[in-house]
Amino acid sequence: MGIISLEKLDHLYWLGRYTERVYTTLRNFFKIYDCLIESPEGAYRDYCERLNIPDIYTSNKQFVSSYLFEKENPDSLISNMNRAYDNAIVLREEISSTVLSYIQLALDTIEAGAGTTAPVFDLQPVLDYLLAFWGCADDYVEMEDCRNIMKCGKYVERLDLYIRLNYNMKDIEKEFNKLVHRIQKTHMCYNMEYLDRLTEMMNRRADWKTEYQEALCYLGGIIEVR
Amino acid sequence: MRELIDHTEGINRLLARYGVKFGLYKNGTFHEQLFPFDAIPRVISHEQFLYLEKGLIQRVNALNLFLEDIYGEKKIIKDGVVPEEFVFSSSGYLPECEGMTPPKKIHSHISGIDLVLGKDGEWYILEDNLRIPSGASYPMIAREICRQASPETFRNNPIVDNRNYAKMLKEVMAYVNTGGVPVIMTPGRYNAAYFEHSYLAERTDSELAMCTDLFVEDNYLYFRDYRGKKQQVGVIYRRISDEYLDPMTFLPESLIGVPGIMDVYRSGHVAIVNAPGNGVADDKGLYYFVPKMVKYYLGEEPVLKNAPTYLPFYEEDRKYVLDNLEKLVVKDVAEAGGYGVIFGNELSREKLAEMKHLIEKESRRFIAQEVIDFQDMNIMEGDEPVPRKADLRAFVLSGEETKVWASGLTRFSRNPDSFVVNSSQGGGFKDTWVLSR
Amino acid sequence: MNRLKFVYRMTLSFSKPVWEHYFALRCLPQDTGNQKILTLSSSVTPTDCLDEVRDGFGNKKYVGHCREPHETFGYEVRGTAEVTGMRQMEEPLHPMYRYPSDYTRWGTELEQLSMQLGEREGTNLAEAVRVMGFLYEHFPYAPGVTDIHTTAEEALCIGKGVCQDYAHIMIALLRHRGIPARYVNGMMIGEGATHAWVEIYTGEGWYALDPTNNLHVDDYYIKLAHGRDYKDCVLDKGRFLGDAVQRQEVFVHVERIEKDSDERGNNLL
Repeated sequence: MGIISLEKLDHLYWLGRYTERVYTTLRNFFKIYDCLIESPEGAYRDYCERLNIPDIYTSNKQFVSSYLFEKENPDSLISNMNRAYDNAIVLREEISSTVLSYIQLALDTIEAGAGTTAPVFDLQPVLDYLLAFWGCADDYVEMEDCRNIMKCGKYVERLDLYIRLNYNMKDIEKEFNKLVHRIQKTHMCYNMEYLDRLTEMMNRRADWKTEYQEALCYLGGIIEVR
Repeated sequence: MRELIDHTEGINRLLARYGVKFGLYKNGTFHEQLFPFDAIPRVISHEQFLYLEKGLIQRVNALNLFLEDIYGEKKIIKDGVVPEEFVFSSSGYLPECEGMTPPKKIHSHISGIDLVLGKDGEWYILEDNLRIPSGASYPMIAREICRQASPETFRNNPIVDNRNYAKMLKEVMAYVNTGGVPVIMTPGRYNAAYFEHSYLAERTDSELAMCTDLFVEDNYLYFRDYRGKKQQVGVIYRRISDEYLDPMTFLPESLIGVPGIMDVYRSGHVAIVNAPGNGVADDKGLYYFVPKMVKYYLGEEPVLKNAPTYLPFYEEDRKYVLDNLEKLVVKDVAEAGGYGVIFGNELSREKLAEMKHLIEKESRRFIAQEVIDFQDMNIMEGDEPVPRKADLRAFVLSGEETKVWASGLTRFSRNPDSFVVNSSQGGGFKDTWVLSR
Repeated sequence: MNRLKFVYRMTLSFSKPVWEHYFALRCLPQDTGNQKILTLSSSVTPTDCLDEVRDGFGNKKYVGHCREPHETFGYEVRGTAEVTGMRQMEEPLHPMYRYPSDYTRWGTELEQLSMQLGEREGTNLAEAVRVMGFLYEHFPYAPGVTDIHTTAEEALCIGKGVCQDYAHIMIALLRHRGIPARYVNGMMIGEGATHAWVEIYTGEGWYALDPTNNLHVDDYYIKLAHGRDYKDCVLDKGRFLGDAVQRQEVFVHVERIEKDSDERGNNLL
């Protein structure tokens, strides 16, 4: 233990990103699902827009089941959880069996939930496991560099989603500061120009509705992994 | 013990949580499958273990001396104990290892010796695995969980702790290390034993490396980190087979090997665990000669018995095999992992004739053995104990000393009619207890 | 006895840059009972590192790599040797040369040819010379019909081939007759490519025969490497990354040094 290869760096970063993607989109979905209870048929289209995903669905019900559980749907929760798992499984000796087990539990929970009539109810433990994963990572991932790289991935993803989903500026700024702080702690190469541009956008309180694509482009390019 | 068995489901749940799985390819796609655990342990008494330990150490020491001899002086051939044809036409013999001695003269650092307990109360050796035997990680982690499930069981029984495997392995790796970091090399997560690779790396504080992390420079092996810094590797526990190890020496199309690693190894600049070329000693055809090796190299009577084996290569044996095929088990020496094993009593008349013809034509390719009537072990099926076939893989580690791990992998077949207990053919596993008194 | 001056040059050109290029070169002649290397110089470009090692068959080998992208790769070895042919090189036999290897696996075509040859006769050497003569008579030389992957059995099926095929077929036949034999890579007087022939074990040592030309290997040959078959002693092996088409050119020149001429080689090659 003690050496992080380029390959592992990549997996650590994307593990951070995908766990965060599952976590934040699931939290978001819970709100949407609540609204969908009384919404007219077809309301899912608005949510696709809000979630910033292509509308490939046919009904409210089909949207719920596909968006959560369909393995062939690249935007689905389970697809993203599988990607998190694919990155985690190759990191056992970096992150430890204990930390890895929470990813396994989250994935197993989603897999077991397919076909449920009460997704929010059944998927609640996924959020618990992911929170436990991050808490546990702080305690069990021994190499500081590993933790920092994972967290960089997490904040990049969170910012990405907050900007896409049009969160308020205060939240975005808070997460941005966390990312900047974390990047400076790692020994990774990062793109200073993109970071500066993004800082500039933050400072002038850019209008994310019109400028989000530019912002996402800078954000995605800050940390140069495959 | 009842308490432990009552927790079977919970134990399996925890095993799933920790990702205790093995990979399988079905119809060309990769699946991960849980490795079902049965809570009724195999119990080996203190006296029995002392006996096994003595026999296994003897056997593995002889096999290591054989490998050193074959790639060196070849005395056992010159003295006519082993026919050279069995050695030099074996696919496991690698001329690329000719004339070299691995660090500390150890060829087989981790030996997985498969045994069965016969109804006559005798242990029989089924085969030696000296290349990359897998399976130690499963009982290690299962024990950890069993102790949580039923502390009483472990308080009330004198069971030797088996969680020292990682420590033993680490010591072996440190002993042969030529100066550098220890690395466990995996072909990747789509390998059947990936769980084990990653778990052992975690437990031995080794780097888990893929071929892309490793490179050869000026005849030394290095590990490269993400900042481009390199660290010399002193010992590599590789979990890929010889032919994929070095595309510059073996299969040029291998994408999971490290180009040039064989030259580094030949120059003595890195220890490879287990050493390349070991396949010549665990060849099914050579198995017949292991008791002779024990006598030849150690001057001792072999403690452990082989299953009664016939080599159709020898005329007398061939005659016996052809006359008694329907009660024998025939093994193709080129195949591994439960494949290429044919039970004579399961063959139709035509197939039997076909087999006989093949044995006559390619006598060197097969060995035949008496079917050992081995003791069944109970497994739980629902709430009912039912008898099933089971074997034991004992792990023998060779470093400064040769040691037997006080546990092992007990695999059982879930199919009541099957004798094949290989996990790749759908079996489960049990914990193996060695009693301390 | 002859003094020979030799050059072996290999150039690879790639259609696009390649990188992470690892190589193993087995074109380093060494002293044997039949040849003494008097001078030897070599160059490999481009390369990040270069080491001389020995393989399991006893051949000398240059290994190294070039990480940076490059479009050409070249290797040259030149030197002078004192060669005595038609002499047995005394050496204990390694048993691996008795048994079939990948390229010399037995098959029905080989079986048939062996039947035509009839029972073995005489000493190992006499029998080997007889087999060589028979093969030379029955197997026409033709370039381009076989390739480096062709086995002895396949070459016989095709019915003609080049030096590699002659050597493999002869080795397969000899081993089957209980005569140990090995494959040799080397150079022959004149200009052209490398050549392959056979060494057979007489009982006390190795003796070289050239089945392609039906000749005893004399003092116009320089040996580079040997093994069980072609696969064991490939002269240039490489592996690189990059989607490039490669073109290999090999230049071999061996000439006799007249007694009174300058042996450092004033005749420019």
